[in-house]
Amino acid sequence: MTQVILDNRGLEPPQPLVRILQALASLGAGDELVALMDREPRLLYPELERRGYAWEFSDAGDGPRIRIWRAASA
Amino acid sequence: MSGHQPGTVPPARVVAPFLVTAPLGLALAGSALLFAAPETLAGPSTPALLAAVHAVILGWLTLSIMGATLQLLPTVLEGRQPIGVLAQAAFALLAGGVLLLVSSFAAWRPPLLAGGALLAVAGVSTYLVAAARPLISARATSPELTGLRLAHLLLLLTVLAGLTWALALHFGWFPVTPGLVAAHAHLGLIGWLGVAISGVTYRLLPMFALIRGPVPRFRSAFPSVFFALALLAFPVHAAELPVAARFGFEATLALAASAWLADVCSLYRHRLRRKLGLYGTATVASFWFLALALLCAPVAVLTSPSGHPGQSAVTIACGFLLLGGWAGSTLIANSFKIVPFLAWYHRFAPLAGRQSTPGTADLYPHWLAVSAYAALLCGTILGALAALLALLPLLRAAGAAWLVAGFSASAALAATFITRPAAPSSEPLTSAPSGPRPAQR
Repeated sequence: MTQVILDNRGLEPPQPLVRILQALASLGAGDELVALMDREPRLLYPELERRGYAWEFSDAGDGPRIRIWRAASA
Repeated sequence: MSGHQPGTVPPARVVAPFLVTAPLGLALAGSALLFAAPETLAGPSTPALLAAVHAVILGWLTLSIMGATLQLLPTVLEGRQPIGVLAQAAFALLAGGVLLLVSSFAAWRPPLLAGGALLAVAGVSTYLVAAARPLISARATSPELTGLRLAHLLLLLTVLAGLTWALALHFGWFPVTPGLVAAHAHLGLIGWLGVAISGVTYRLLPMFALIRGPVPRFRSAFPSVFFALALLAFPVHAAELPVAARFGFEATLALAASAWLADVCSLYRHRLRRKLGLYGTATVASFWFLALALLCAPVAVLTSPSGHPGQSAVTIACGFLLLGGWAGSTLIANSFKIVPFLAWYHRFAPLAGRQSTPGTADLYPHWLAVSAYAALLCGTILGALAALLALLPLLRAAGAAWLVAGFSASAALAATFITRPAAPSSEPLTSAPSGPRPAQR
């Protein structure tokens, strides 16, 4: 499985959302995307759900990040 | 998935009317000043100035803050959806109330004034019911949310006081003294606008100026401090306390606002976005206008014949600096970030990643937005000078400039929902983030 890292820090909306959705389009089956963010991308979630992705957001000591993978049922 | 249930973006039809039509309130204020009577500059409570102030605060600033709140609460502050139908009804009631209120002030018709105030109270109350669910349910614990909750309470108190004064004027219950007018004005300016803007700035500034710096030390304190000062202002002015007490209060208020300004400026210094653009220019200008207004506020008390700020020309100048300069610049800066993004999200988010999409800056004519802001600045500076020099032609010129500013801003914001961008382009980046980078697990 490949983990793709995408650094979205320092970008203004909607660039983080666009870059994540672009990166997901080229994500292979079983791969996952980890995007480094400045804040929680709440407006991304409806799009992820519509497109059949699952996600996990965390805001630990190393900064906000979201892990996205294709949902099992999709 | 974790932590969030999707589908919390409010529909554009609920939020957009507030945000897009709000600048017409500025145009309305401009028209009141453009046709101002010769005695308008005799004091802050003359019909044309009262009309302009209510058009700016209720029509432009309040409608904009309401729209932004309806948008931000469910999306940024983790609240539930507002009640859409009630929000739309609130918009209609408040817009109608503003029109009636402003025209009855301008023509000085107390019976209509009471009708306009009633409509405005109905609009604000309906809006509060619509927004109560996201306001109460918001899970984020932050100064900006505290500020929004306190500010909405003060908005209700402000319009209720205004309605009471209007009814008193019509039925002759009691004289509406300059002290009562000043008390109402402080509730609206320091309470509603001051608390809302001072709190929300801590959320919007890092988002739009791209700030990744230390958390400001005093940000939690300011909404509560301004809330307390707004409540205290009411008895201080309404009870006509001695000049020394009123001067002391205004000086304390100026000190608190100066501390907030210093805190926000220190936050802004950590921004990654160095290119000023419309957002940066308007943000920096808002800081300067606030600093100037803070110098004027205590002077307004001292230069008044009776020691009352409601009778000083400096008060009128201070009003222009605060409303057009500080609040207006802040609003223009944020409106041209929030509204284009809202329009982009509703129009292009479903296409993102599947095909090229335009940037938010492609959705409106930039020159029109810049023209609107330039006209706002011209009108604000001319208005302040007109007050200090007692020159009516300058005041009318200020009105013309605000008229242009209001229509231009509204047209530019409306364009974000209807223009078809010719060619997709990328937003300018201030740093160079890395592209997708594979890493074997």
